[in-house]
Amino acid sequence: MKYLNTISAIVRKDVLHELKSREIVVSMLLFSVLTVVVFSFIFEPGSQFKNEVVGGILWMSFVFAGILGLNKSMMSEVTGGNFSALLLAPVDRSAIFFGKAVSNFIFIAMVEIFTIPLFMVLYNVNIFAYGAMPVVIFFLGTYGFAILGTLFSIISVNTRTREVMLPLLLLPIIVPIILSSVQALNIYILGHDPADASKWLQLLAAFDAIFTVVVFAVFDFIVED
Amino acid sequence: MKKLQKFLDIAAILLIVAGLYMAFMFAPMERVMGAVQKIFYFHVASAWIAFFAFFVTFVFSILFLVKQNFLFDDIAESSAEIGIMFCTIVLITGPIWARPIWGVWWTWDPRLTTTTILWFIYAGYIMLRKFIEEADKRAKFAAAIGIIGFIDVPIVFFSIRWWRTIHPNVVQKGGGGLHPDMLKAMLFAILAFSVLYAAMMLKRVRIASLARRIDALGENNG
Amino acid sequence: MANFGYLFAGYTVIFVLLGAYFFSLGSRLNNLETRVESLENK
Repeated sequence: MKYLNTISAIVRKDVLHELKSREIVVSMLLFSVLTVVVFSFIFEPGSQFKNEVVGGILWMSFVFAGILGLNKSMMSEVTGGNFSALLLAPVDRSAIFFGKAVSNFIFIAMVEIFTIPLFMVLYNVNIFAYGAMPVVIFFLGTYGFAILGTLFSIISVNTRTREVMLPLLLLPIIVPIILSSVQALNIYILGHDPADASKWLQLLAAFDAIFTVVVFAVFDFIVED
Repeated sequence: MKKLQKFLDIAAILLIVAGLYMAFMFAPMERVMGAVQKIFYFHVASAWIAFFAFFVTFVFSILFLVKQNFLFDDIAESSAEIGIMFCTIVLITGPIWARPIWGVWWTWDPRLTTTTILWFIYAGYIMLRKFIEEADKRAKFAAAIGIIGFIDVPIVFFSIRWWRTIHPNVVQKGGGGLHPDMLKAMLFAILAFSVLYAAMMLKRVRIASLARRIDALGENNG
Repeated sequence: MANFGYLFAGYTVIFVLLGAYFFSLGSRLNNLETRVESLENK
């Protein structure tokens, strides 16, 4: 119970801070919409081929914007010394980590909620034509991204090069998330049999479960004493 | 220590020469692929050692986090560096073989793609180590990458395998289609590279611990 | 038999890379050993 209280306290702090400053979500949102627009130049407007790539474009816009936001969110924690202060608090350290991961998840989810409708209008595709299942894809994919992204952003802001390390460490590790989210989304965009999406969803769920456990086990050891 | 090092160095060189003999003279010529198939023996051996080296990094990353002994960190670092050497060899010899056989340098086959991702994970691991000054932080953060990166590899492999596959599947089907003499040559190449790996590890770990010693001495003097 | 060129290139890559790494390890080790000795004598 205390564990959940810690998580919710940290999330509340981050959300309140974000509501005041609006730095993270607004910059991420602009960047992700911009990515969606700029990527439209890689194919002829209205070509048939477009439906096979738009799912990938949407996910890459989330990944790039997410990396931007993770760096911003962790930098503001570290520069004020806030993160070290949090770690001194007499609470379970992994609760602090999951608090940060949940706030990052919320920020990325906000970006997705605004980007997806714009994306559907701009590319003239309806992701939800076959029901609400794509919501599960976005949920699982974003969760996995947030959990590993939060850990790696803590690592990355502690290096000499600051934010440069995050994409270099994160992108190869989240290949399974990118691949299965894009493949699952494509099934819905192209109107293939939704049953095919289930194995990708299982893979995403397995990835999320495995890395939740691993990060939970590892986090206590890696933060400074 | 010095004696063991000498012994391993010489053994590695002799075994590699013998391995070359096995690959070129002992193993029969492949009828379809011709001479280029002889890359196979040391290509597979390199891949084997690369995976083994990253496994060692994984194990010693865990050990470091549990025991906080910096020798384990040195071993994890050394093994990752040697692993990336062998991984680079795999990634270069693979396309050289693929070009005359498949007609293309590169395909997005699961094993090729997984090996590439693996290379990037450990390139990140080594870069990360270069960018953190405090030995304690460096070791802990690198250990996190060493653990997560290795656990990620099978997931990457399965996700890409669901996506597509064409790589010749020699090891899985009990050497399926592989001539017994070819299998012997392959196993011999793996043995030779394992000894080479051991010789390199011994040197690399000593380099890492000497560097740590120099840091400690420098702090005392300055 | 036209693919001898590829075979040759493959083995060249393997042994140039391994050889270079192997000898660089040796020289790095020697450098460090002399440095440690001189620091310890101070």
